[in-house]
Amino acid sequence: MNAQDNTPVSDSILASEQVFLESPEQLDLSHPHQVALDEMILKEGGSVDNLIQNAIHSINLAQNHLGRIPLNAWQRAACRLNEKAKESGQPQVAFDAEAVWVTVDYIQHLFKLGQKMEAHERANAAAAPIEDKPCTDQAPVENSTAAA
Amino acid sequence: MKTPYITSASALDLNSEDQLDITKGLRSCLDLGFSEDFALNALISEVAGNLTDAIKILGRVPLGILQRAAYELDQRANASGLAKDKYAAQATWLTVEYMQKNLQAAEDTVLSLQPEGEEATTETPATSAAA
Repeated sequence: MNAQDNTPVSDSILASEQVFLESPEQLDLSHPHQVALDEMILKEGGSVDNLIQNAIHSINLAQNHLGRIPLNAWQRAACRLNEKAKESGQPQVAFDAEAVWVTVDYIQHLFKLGQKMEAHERANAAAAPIEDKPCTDQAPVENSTAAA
Repeated sequence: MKTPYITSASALDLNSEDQLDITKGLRSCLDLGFSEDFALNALISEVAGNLTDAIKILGRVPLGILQRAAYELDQRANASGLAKDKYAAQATWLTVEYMQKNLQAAEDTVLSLQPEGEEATTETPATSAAA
């Protein structure tokens, strides 16, 4: 519990001012948010592994929602909202347009990362010794689509 | 068909092969008697629904926790040198950046919507959508 009130630590982390980072290495483990997080993990008998798994689970769920619409349709919606924002001059419409554009950018970066990963896996498979390569007469194993 | 990557919403080429494909979908709406604006609004509604659902899910994870997960995965990737660890760390970091941009855009919008002299509230469109 927070020393100043009865707010659970997890809620105080959510409600407190956000610290934006430019890279993961910039994270300050001695920052009160991160110290509170360590205390919460210890208190609840959790582990950093669980924390990571839960975060990855949430990311995958969110990406499932985003992936239901093709990238070109996202792009077209962002383009139309951008036009609407310019026509109306309203900050709220500009926010909608910005939110969709930020999402397009996110999806594009995920695609690029996925392509890099696939290319890397193909190169690894090609470089592997023959005895390590999968047998082609076996049934194909269903691929996982986990993004993270 | 390869969707071209664009660097801003205004950079979209409506004559690209990909967008002509979307136009065909819109045309089927027009054939049913709907206007182009109606068809585009329907597309925007669908996008808004999926975007809101995704933000709600990600919004349940505090930013500090997402950042910590990206940090820990980055540390592991550096230690192991394995490509799969590197990609997992990068995918998580992209999500951190995405949420940071959303939060920043929400904060900027709240500030721009406020009458002069009023103090900023902690409620932003992104956090209220995530609640």
